Amino acid sequence: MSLLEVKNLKVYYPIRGGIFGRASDYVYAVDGVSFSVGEGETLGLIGESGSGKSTIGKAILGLVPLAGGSIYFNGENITKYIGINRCNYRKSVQMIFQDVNSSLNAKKRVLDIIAEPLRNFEKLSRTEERKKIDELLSIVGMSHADAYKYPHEFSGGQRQRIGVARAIALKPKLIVADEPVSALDLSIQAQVLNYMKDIQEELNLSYLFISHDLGVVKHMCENLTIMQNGKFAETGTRDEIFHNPRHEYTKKLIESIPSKNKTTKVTI
Amino acid sequence: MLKIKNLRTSFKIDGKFYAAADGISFDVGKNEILAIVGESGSGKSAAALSITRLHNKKSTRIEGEIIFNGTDLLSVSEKELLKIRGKHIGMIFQDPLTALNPLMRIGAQIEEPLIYHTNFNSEERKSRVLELLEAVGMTPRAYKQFPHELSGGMRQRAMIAVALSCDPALVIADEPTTALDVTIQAQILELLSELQKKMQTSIILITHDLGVVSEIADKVAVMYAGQIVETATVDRLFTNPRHPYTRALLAAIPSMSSNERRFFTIPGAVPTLREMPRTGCRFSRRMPHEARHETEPTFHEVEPDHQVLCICHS
Amino acid sequence: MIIRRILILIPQLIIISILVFILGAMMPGDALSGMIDPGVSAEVRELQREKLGLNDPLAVRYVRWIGGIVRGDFGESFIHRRPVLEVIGERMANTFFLSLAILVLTYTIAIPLGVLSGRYSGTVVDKAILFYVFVSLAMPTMVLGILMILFFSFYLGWFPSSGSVDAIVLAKGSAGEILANRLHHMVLPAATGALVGMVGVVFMLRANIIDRAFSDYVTLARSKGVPEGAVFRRHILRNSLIPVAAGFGFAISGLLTGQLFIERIFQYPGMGHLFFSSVKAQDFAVVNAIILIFSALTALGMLISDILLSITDPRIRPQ
Repeated sequence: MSLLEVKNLKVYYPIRGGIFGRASDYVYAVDGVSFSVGEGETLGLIGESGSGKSTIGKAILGLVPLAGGSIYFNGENITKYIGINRCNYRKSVQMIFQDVNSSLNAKKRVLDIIAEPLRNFEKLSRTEERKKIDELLSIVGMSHADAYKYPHEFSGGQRQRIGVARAIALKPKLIVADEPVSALDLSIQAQVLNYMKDIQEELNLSYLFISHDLGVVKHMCENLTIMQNGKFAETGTRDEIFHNPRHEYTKKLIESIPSKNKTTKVTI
Repeated sequence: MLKIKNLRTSFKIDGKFYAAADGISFDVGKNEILAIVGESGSGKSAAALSITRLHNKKSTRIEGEIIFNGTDLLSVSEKELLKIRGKHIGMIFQDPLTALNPLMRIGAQIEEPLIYHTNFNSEERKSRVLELLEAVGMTPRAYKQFPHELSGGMRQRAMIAVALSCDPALVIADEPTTALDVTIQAQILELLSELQKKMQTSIILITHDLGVVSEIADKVAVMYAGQIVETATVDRLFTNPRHPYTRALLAAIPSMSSNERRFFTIPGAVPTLREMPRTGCRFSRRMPHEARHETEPTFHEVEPDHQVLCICHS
Repeated sequence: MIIRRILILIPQLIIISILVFILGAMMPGDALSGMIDPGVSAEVRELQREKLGLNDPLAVRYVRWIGGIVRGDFGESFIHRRPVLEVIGERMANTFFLSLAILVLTYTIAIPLGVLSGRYSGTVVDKAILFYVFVSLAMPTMVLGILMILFFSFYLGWFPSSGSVDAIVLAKGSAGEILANRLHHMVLPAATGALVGMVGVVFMLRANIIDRAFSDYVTLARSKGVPEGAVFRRHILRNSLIPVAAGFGFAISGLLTGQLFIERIFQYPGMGHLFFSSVKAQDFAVVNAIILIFSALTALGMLISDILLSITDPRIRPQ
């Protein structure tokens, strides 16, 4: 049984018009997709901007209303409860955002940022909370002194690690990571991705990894799905997709990656 | 054609100047594509914008020499500079959505350099603009459209048309593909290199993406913390990188052919302008302990067309 | 799109009219409380109320009121003993011309100041303008108005301190003399209104210009070899004026509404003046009518703003 199973998911955004702002037409952002993510597994969701990949992430977190389809978590149909705050499901599924500058509240200390989900879901005493936060910070390679600083005092990579610490605070089963490293420099990307992998092994996490970067996805994900215009163009294991792409769009994507193969001769 | 000597571009922060590009030298030959590669904060854009002095004069200081076709761009007057900008040196910026004026039609924006640099009347200018639109693969319909009516790729094509309108000798492209989708990136790169061959232009390509470099550049200069640490032809750089930073950068690319589980990382981060070390080897502090040193590195010729700023030469 | 916006106005106005009516009805006392001799017996009073329809249910009174308005009848002023529309009409012209003068003056002062201070930000010119703007920001209309009267009217004696026209001139003067006299009366209130109103425009324009001076598209324009003057005109100024143009729509609606305080200070017989005195006298027919007109004009102003914005900014134009 897989951890998350999504069946025929649909998300439509209305285009409003007319005198009373009634929806005259819809943008079919996600138009009937099905997939599943197993425990401890990473599913890569690849597509260009506007393909609907981020919308899938939002739908799973209950941040956009569904137009159709159902979502099963641990075998249970949770489609109805998905928008309800503080339910068990909300606790088990967390998110890492792309833009570390806007997704961390600049006016809050790191301590409060990471503690926020804990305060919403768990009643911890002050010392318990502090202990938990130190633990989380050390998992992402930061010191306990960092807890009293503000986000702007950190570099982009460190900020994304704070985002990771916040996401894992409640020991979730699944993390939706929406372009977690695309705003970061190359040398920093690697640091964050490595932390994400370590944590995955440690906590037996599943990731829904949303990205446009095939190189990154290839290293992070066992299974891949290529999205185009709200639908899945192709789904398969990493090897199938990279060595034997079948869909025209997948081929085009792989071809359009600048030939980094020249670089593989390098050894350090 | 372009020769830059000891360029230092400093920005004023809280009343003090800090050098973002700190004594860099390179040259670009006719018909050549030079890529300047570096992470954010390396000073690559600071250096590129200095060539035509596009920084805010109040808060920027530029020193050194920038010799373009025999004239030093740093000593010519503002007025003479206007005759070079857009006419002999064209610019392409990263994000075409913010770099095109949202209130002006595409045609008018491409036409603008022609108003100041040619004697064309408006009829001639219009036919030149239509010609340029065709050259960058856009329909004549775009002439009357506004930037927001076009896709990202089309907008970037429009910006390329702006840069090429007066048939410049040099085009400076600052991260021209970074804001675009992968498939569109490939198209834009292809278009750039095709037009470069056709129009016999030199290009300085500023990028953080080594993949882009390998695709179209002839020469590469790798920048770190305000300095150029290695220059070489593209082939030599990719097959025989010498500077530890270059090597690390190359290794950090998630490669398509290996199936390594972990990513190679460079510890630490690029230092900010204020905390940038000004003496000794600037990269050394991100290397393993045993390799750290304070010795001032010097430029060495490793092989023909291949220099490296390092003490670890051989 | 514009038709849709106009159609939205209708329900907006209906809701406003209901609110205005309920608020008026909820105010303590009625038109009679100030008019009738306190010695008059309760029965006579009640009879009078009944005759005027003041005892009918709220809904009935609303329908009667709104029905009249649709036919152009705003009821009768209890104080002036004349139709409300007539009472308001007289003042409307005064307010309109005063506000027009303020509007024109505001923008003719504010745009050059904003442009100067934005273009030469950080220089002495900018600092002087900013200093002045801050001073006038800190000064309430009331205080500025009184200072103006003190200085220009009592001390220098250049301009009259109150009224809209001298009675003698109105009675005996030629048309030209009357106009000159009216303008003369208008100088102080108009200048005061403009000095207060320009602050926001100067600030907005200055901030816009500074904000855009190093935006990407301006850098691109410079990289084309466009001279700085043309860069400023074609790229910086035009794009900076758009939000100002949007504000202009609101200012137009202020033509009839906004000058409450100014009219009060200068005893200028306009709508604002009428409003204050009607509230005091509990002349609700007039108060309700004025609030309704003000609200309708504000809604109209927003519509004008939207239209102006869609004309100046292609991104908002309907496809």
